Amino acid sequence: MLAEQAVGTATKISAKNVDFFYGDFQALKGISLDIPDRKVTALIGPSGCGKTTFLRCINRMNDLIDNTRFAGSLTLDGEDVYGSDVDPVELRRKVGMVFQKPNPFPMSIWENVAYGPRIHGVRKRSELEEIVETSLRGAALWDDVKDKLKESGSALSGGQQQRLCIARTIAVKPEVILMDEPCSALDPIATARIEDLIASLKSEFTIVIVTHNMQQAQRASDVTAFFLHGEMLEIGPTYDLFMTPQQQPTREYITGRFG
Amino acid sequence: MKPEQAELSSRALVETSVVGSQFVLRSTLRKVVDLAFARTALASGLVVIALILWIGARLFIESGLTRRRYGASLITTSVWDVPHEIYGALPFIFGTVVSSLLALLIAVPLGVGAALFLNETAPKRLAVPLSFVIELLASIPSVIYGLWGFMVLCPFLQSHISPWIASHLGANPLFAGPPVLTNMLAAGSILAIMILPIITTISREVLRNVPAGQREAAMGLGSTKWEMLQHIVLPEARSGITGAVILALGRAIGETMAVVMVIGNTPQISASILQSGYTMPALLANQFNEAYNDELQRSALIEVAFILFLVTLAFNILARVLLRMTARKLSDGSPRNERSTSKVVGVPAT
Repeated sequence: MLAEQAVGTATKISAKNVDFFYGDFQALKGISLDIPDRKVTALIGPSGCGKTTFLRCINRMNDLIDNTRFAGSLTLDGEDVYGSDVDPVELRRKVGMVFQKPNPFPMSIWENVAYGPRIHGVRKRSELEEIVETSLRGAALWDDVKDKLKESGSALSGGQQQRLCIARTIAVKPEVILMDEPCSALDPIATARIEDLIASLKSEFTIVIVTHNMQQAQRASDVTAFFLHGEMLEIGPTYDLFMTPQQQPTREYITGRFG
Repeated sequence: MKPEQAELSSRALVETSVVGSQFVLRSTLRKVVDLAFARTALASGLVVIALILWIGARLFIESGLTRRRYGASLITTSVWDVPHEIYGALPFIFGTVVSSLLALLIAVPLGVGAALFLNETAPKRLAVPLSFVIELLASIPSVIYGLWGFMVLCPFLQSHISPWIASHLGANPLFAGPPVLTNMLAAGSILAIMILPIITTISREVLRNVPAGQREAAMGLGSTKWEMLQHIVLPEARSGITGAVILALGRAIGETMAVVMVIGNTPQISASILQSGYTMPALLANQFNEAYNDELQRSALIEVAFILFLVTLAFNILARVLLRMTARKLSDGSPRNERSTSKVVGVPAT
């Protein structure tokens, strides 16, 4: 049943033969995969396998690192993400990102969420108020913070900070949210809340999540891709991939024999 | 016996009874050496502090004569006439303040701009040699700046820049001509070059300490680089950059040799930066020799030195406090600091 759910939707992001280099080091080797629309896709694999690099190719965050090179094709809704007429700044508005460590700006909770809409031209106070509230509600944080919106974002607990970062990301109304091990700095309770949040977000957003946590991938994702040594070995509906992995290394990794 | 000494010897005793004697001998020796090191380090530290106190105290005591005789008038009046025993240091204070502020006016935008360029936009192969060159500026002896200032910069300003300023802005008293060869503008320009490395190097350090996570967050939301710098990085770095500027100001105020050679050494208070001036350090350098046998003049000079000492000390302390505050601000709240990965786990749960 899970398999049907995962397969039965349109493709949002499509990678074809993606190579990526840090200087002379090739971090990605011929990655081809399709990411379904409004589903959660998990990228798993041991450290250094290239899953985070691939994630950061999608919103071109890797462009900010000196001496890197991308080759191949990556499309979002059929449009080339690396096309010469694409402005990475505009792309990143459509493809938001949540990072490994909660990184709220050193400003108030309200300003943290309003920051994105503001730089993208929302000026009216009433409109901003509305976006802030919807985003905080969307990130399941509103009830925790509605009485202290003027307080500093960094005064929140780690889990709340991460939900604030998610609120900040959805405030600019992206189509895709990339999550780079969003729970690795959080305790199990905070992690569970983020996972619930991910489940509720996928009705609106396409989510790609990098995780080291096998249980998390199984709980939270519809599709899972397994990366190893810069290559993608296997992709499939999460249930199938964990139950009947096709490749030996996948089997070994998900049963905890390495990584 | 101090507590730690007592602890050391008692521990040594315990070890005697537990392990063999030849082993203890060596271990005690190492502890003695360690203690000796700690005490030597402490002594060196105390010597430095004592030195500062000694300098300050001597300056204060040796300027007693003029402090009693002239009181506040030494810093509020503007005639410095050694033969007639009239000592008013206002023109020197004025010259010091104006030349230093002028230097900041030029060096702050340039220095912070260079720091931003080197840290944020310059490709690495340009940033590395360029920052090396900027830091190299700090190692040039100030007398060389003075010489270059007098022989190259002053004539250049006089023939190319000052006439233009005087003819276009001359109606404004700040730029009133006719421009003279050695003037405030030249002193400010030379000082600006000399303090540029301080501003750039420290600002870069401060900018670099703004957590990478916050930069990425801003870029990830679709900020342009400038928006990221303007909204996130610069506000965080502001107090640190202010510290760098104040440190540079302290350096400019105290700079002697280069200023002596380009400012004209005329004890006057002129609003125009195209006219000559005089500074406190320049006064000291020019007159200390002749004042050796003149008790009153010597006292007056030492009083000026005392003021200079206090002002530069105060600026330096203020700058360091600001820099330390910034460093603490940027490193606290572990979840957003890139360098404290291991501590992040300890963040309280939701």
